[in-house]
Amino acid sequence: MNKLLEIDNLKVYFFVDPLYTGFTKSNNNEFKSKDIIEDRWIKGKIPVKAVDNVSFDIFNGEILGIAGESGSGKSVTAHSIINLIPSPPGKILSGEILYKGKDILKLSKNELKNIRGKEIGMIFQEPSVSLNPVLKIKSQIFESLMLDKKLNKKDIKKKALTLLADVGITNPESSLNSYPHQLSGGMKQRIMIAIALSRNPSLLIADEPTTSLDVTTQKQIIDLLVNIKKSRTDFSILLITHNLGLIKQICDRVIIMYGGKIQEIGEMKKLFENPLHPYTEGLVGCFPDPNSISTERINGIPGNIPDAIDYPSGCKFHPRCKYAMCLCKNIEPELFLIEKTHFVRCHLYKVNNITDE
Amino acid sequence: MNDNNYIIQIKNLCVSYLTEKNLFSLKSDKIVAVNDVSLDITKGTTTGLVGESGCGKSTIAKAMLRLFNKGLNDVEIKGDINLLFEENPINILKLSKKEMRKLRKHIQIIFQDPSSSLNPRFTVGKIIEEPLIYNTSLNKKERIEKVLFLLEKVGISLDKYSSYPFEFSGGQKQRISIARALASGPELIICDEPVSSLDVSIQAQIINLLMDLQKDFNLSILFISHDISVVKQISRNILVMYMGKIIESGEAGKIYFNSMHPYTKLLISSIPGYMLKNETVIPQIENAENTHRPSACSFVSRCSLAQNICNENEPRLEEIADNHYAACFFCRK
Amino acid sequence: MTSRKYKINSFSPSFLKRRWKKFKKIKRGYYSLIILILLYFISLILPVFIGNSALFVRYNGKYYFPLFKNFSANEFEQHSRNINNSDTKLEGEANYRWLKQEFDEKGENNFVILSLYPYGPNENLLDEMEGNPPHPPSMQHIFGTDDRGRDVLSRLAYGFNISLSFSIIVTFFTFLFGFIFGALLGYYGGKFDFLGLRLIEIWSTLPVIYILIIISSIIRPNFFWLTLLLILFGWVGITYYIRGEVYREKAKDYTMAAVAIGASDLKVIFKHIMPNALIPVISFVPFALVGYITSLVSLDFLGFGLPPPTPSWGELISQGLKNTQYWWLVSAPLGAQFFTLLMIVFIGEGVREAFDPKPFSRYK
Repeated sequence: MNKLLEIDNLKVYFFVDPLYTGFTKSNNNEFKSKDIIEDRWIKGKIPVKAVDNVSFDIFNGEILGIAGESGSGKSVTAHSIINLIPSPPGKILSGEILYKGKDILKLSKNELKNIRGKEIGMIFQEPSVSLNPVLKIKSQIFESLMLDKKLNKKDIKKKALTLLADVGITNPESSLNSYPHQLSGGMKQRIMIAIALSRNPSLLIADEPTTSLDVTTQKQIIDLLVNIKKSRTDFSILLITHNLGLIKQICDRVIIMYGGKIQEIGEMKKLFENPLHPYTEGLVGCFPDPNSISTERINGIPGNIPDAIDYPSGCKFHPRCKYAMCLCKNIEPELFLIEKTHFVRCHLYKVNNITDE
Repeated sequence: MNDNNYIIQIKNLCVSYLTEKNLFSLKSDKIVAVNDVSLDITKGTTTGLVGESGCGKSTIAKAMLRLFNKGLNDVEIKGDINLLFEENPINILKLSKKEMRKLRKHIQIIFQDPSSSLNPRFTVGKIIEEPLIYNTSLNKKERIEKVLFLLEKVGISLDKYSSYPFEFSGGQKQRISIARALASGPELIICDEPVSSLDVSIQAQIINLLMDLQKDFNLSILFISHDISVVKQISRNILVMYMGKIIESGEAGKIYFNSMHPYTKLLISSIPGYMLKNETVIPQIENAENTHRPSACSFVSRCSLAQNICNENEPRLEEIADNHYAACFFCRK
Repeated sequence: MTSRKYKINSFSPSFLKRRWKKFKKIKRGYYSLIILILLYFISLILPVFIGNSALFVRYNGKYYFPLFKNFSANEFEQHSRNINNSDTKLEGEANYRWLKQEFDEKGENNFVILSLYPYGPNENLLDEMEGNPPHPPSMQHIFGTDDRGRDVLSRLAYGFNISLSFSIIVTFFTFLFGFIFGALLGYYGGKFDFLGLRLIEIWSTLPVIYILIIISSIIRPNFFWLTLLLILFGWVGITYYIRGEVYREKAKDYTMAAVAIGASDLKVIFKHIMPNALIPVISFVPFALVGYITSLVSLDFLGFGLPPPTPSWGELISQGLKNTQYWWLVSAPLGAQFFTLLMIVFIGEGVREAFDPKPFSRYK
């Protein structure tokens, strides 16, 4: 398979005012790197390491899932793919995002316009906020289609109608003339998908596309995404979610993120059958098995998600890890290769790594 | 069912919101949120209430606490809510405001959004101490002891006593909410989507905590959620609601593995990662509009089993097996 | 207390403390606040620094404190030192500047301690100065005198106190009433809110300026009346705002939780909702002060404000407007007003930054 997108050593920090955090040891933690001191607004702020040296690839025609809890950096990773980091407070410090060989982070504003929407589409968590409440659905879809200069007015309407039919809206004609508040959450998300697909992108980034929807609607949207994927060739989806159940349902490969770093990458089946990283194991255990019932305690993960301002030393998961060793407290493990396409960031597998080579 | 076994009993509850028609008239429209709901919550057990957003499950919780935000919506409540208090049923809806305030300590609530359910200007100690001030006659020292005891119980480090809510993560805030609810010594705790805004690893912790506390304090819990996979984990009985009505109720195992109502089946098969067991799943008619006529089954527009009878009559909740009730013409005994 | 099982030893700064810390970081606002508070405190004991009463007089072995009690010129057997006729007995209140000169010349044991700048705001200096008023600035009269021969600096300083006191009192009471009405309307809602709002709407359509002008042409308003009138018309705006805030805070779960644990209505409003609803309103306070200072100045300017001879900026400005060739009469009051308002605006800017930060942010 061909690589569609390569992310290499992506590093995104957010810089926050110490007064607005619960964090008091601000002086020890001030950001002092000389490379970026030219940005005056960074002075005196505390860095939040949202994404720290993340590298992965998206292949042509796959569904890649990024799973993680809040603060794991999964959304920030997705947003940086189309350079959508608000700055300040955010800043992409380093890294390359190669889309078909072009580095997205080095593109000018105009060149970015041709990538966003046309090459990479995006849908967000909250469909009711993503649609403009004072514009009719018509003008919001047309707006995106009109960017394609070849289409005339008639074609645009025709295209919009087929798009809406494609995403499973039963009466496209009347939906075009309605306002967002007249539609249900599921319908709005379908329209968001239609807008994202309107310019035939080859990558769709879905950032928690079902989180704010009802369970039954959730299922429909996920089925829709799978159908869209099937009906197009060379079309990839990057699904960001906290729900491992969704990933289990549709993804080919999975990335597990924690504390701004990738903890495990692997093929979905292997990763679920045999989760290697203790965090993945814990996360899988957190989901009450939908196929059985028991009123016993759930095997959760103890402890709290660490504050991104104040990560623990060494492995970021070690305070919550049941296998934690002395080593884990001091040294952060690297991403070890277990077998082809399966990587784990955990000291437990270091030995393996050496014997393999 | 044994009559003295319940902690709270709801009989034929109807709640409707009256909305203002326009700026200049006080005439109003009526939106029926809860329509003829009856339910019992057995002492010392957890009852789960499942349904999609807008089905009226939170309205039931609000009615049980008489916590309506008047002014925005005028509310019309009919029916009875009987709280068993010292062996005598008391109808909550008939109490005066003052009498209700005295009874409030028996029923407590935990909200969905932990960040808005704690007053940002109070310290943790003050938040948990407040119910003790209103509902007990403890002195300052005893109150602090009690607060610290509760903090320990819910797993919050004691030196956070004088911290402010913003210093905590969502899960910790939810623990503080639980401690506040426990402080007045309630018999019933209503959990309104207590875990849906939390991360998965924290969800499990909170559910485990609720289970432990239930044993320790012999609590009855009404667990409201849109996620049946969470509800089935913690509840002994499950009630499924759809558009203001209970459409199926019974023991958790029966509902989950042997669901009869097509809506319940749909709900269960929609759980991400649910494996189908050569069971006929009811495919849903997509994008149907949820217009509800009073003389028809409320689910008829989305149900593929629907026949003429469903459009003409409204099915009642009937016992289809031992302690298993459903409101559908096609799942009678 | 020794039997306590647990120890509590943590301390976190409260919300207001953190905001104060942030405010202190905004230098412009912080220093403006310090200067303004300092100036206001000085203006509260202004006669010590600026005024025609002496601080202390020793005459024939007796001690006098004219700051606290007026003495007539007879007390000191004072003679007039008028430029024209210098040998009559002085009538009325003693003139301490002349008294000091007299004592100095006689060289006896008597002495007078004057204030730093010994001219009163309402004191006519025509007897002491040559030429016609207004007199241009000189060493004795830094900003000159106005068209009735009164010292401009002295009038400005007393005017500062009056303007600021006036606006602080009006702001405090408008916010107080606005808060109480707003909180009740917002919390109880329903028909009470509906009727209350209509009442407020009718009240707020009254043309304030004209009513003030009409009233002040019937009764000559003094300080008390003018404050009362402005409070009467000023509380409406803040009521609207607070009502909205209370509505918003009321919908939050912590309010419901407070009701659920058995708090009474008043406890819920004033213990839970009030501190939270007030936060966004705090940043309005400095701008309200600016507004009321300006309205007092304009009323005085139009001649419908405080009765003469109250030292007021508006009256000075209107004098300046009539005599634009006397530049000090124009620039001094305008400058004083400008710098005062500037400082308050700086404070307001800092408060808003600290309480209601909206960081600048953009996408590429």
